[in-house]
Amino acid sequence: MKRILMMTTSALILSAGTAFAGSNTSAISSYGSSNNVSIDQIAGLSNTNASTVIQGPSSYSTGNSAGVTQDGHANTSTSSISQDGNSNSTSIHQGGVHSTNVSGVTENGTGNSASVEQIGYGDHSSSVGQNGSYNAATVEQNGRDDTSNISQTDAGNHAGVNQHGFGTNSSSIAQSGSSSGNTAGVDQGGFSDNTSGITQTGDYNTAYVTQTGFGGQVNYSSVVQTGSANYSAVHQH
Amino acid sequence: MTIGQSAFFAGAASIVLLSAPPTHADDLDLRLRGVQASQIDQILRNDADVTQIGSSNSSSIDQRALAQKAAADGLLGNWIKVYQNGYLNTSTINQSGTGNDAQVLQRGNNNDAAISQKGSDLGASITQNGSGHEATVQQFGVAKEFDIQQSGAPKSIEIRQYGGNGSGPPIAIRQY
Repeated sequence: MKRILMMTTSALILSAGTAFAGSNTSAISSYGSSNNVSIDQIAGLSNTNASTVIQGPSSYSTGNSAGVTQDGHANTSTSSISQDGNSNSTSIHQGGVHSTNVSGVTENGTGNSASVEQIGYGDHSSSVGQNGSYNAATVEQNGRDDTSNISQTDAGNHAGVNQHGFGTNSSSIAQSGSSSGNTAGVDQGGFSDNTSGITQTGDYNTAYVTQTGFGGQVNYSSVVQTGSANYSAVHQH
Repeated sequence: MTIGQSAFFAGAASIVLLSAPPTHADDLDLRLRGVQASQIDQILRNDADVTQIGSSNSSSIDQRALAQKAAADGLLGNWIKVYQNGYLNTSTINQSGTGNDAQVLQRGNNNDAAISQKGSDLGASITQNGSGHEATVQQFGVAKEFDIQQSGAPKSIEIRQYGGNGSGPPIAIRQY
C-alpha cells in the first residue's frame, strides 16, 4: 500500500516538475517501497526554496528514491530527506548565485546511498547521517564557505567529501560503532583554510585526506582511528 | 659538505649515520615533480594529527610547503603529530619546505617509524616505548635537529643527513 501526503504554500512539485517564481515550499511523505520522489525548485530573486521528504517510515521499506534540485539567485535553499529501510537512495543538487544552501539527509537501514552536490558562489552546509551497514555518502561542495558533516554507524560504509570553494572548507566524518571495513576520503582545495576531521572505530578502516590550495591558507587534518589494521594517508601540499 | 657523525651504540641497539653530498635536493625534487613553486609558496602551514589506537595500524603523511609567509600566530611550516598505541604499527612521514616539524610517539611493541625531511629548519622526534622498534630519519638540507628515544630491546635506528654545514643543533639519541 502506498500513501502520499502533500502540503504546499506557494508551489508543489510531486514526482517530476519544476516550481518557479517566489518562494517554494514542499513536504512529501511516502509510505511503502519502490516510491520515487523528484522535486525541482527555482526561487525568485532573494526568495527561498524549502523541501522536506520522508520515505519509509517502516524498516521494511526498500528501493525508495528521492531527488531534489534547488536553484535561484541570492536565495536560501533548504532540503531535508529522511529514509527508513534498505536500498534507498537520495540525490540533492543545490545551486544558485550568491545563494545559501543547506541540506540534511538521514537514512536508517542497509545499502542506502546519499549524494549531495552544492555549487555556486555562496555558503553551503551539508549533513548526512546513516545508521546501518554498507551505506555510501558523497558530498561535493564548490562555493564560498563549505561545511560538511557525515556520520555513519556500523560496517562497510563509505564516505567521500570533495570541497573546492573560494572560502573556508570544513569537513567532519565520523564512522563509529563496532564497525569495520569503512572508508573515508576527503579532498579539499581552494583559496582559504581547509579543515578535516576523521574519526573511525573498528578494524580495517581506511582514511584518505588531500588538502591543497593556492593562497595563504592553513591546512589542518586530524585522523583518529581506534582498532586494528587501520590505514591513514594525509597529503598536504 | 660532508657531515661527520659518531656512531652510538647502546645495548643491543645499532645506529648507522651516513653522509652524502647532494645539495638543493628539494629544488630538484620539486622540478622533477612538476610542482609550481608559486602555488606552494602561498601555503602558510600544514598541520596533521594522526592518532591510532590498536594493532597493525599504519599511517602515511606527505607535506610540502616552501617559503611560507608568516602566519598571524607566528607559526609556519609543516607540522605533524602521530600517536600510535599498539603493536606492529607503522608511520611514514615525508616533509619538504621550510620549518618542518614531525613528532612520532609509539607505544607497544614492534613498531616502525620513518621520517624524511627536505628543506631547512628540520625537526624530527621519535619516541618509542616497548620492544622491537625501528626508527629511520632522513634529512636533506640545513638546520637539522632530531631527537629519538627508544626503550626496550631490540631496537634499531638509522639516520641519514645530507647537506648543510654541520653546525646545526646536536643530535640527541636516548635508548633505554
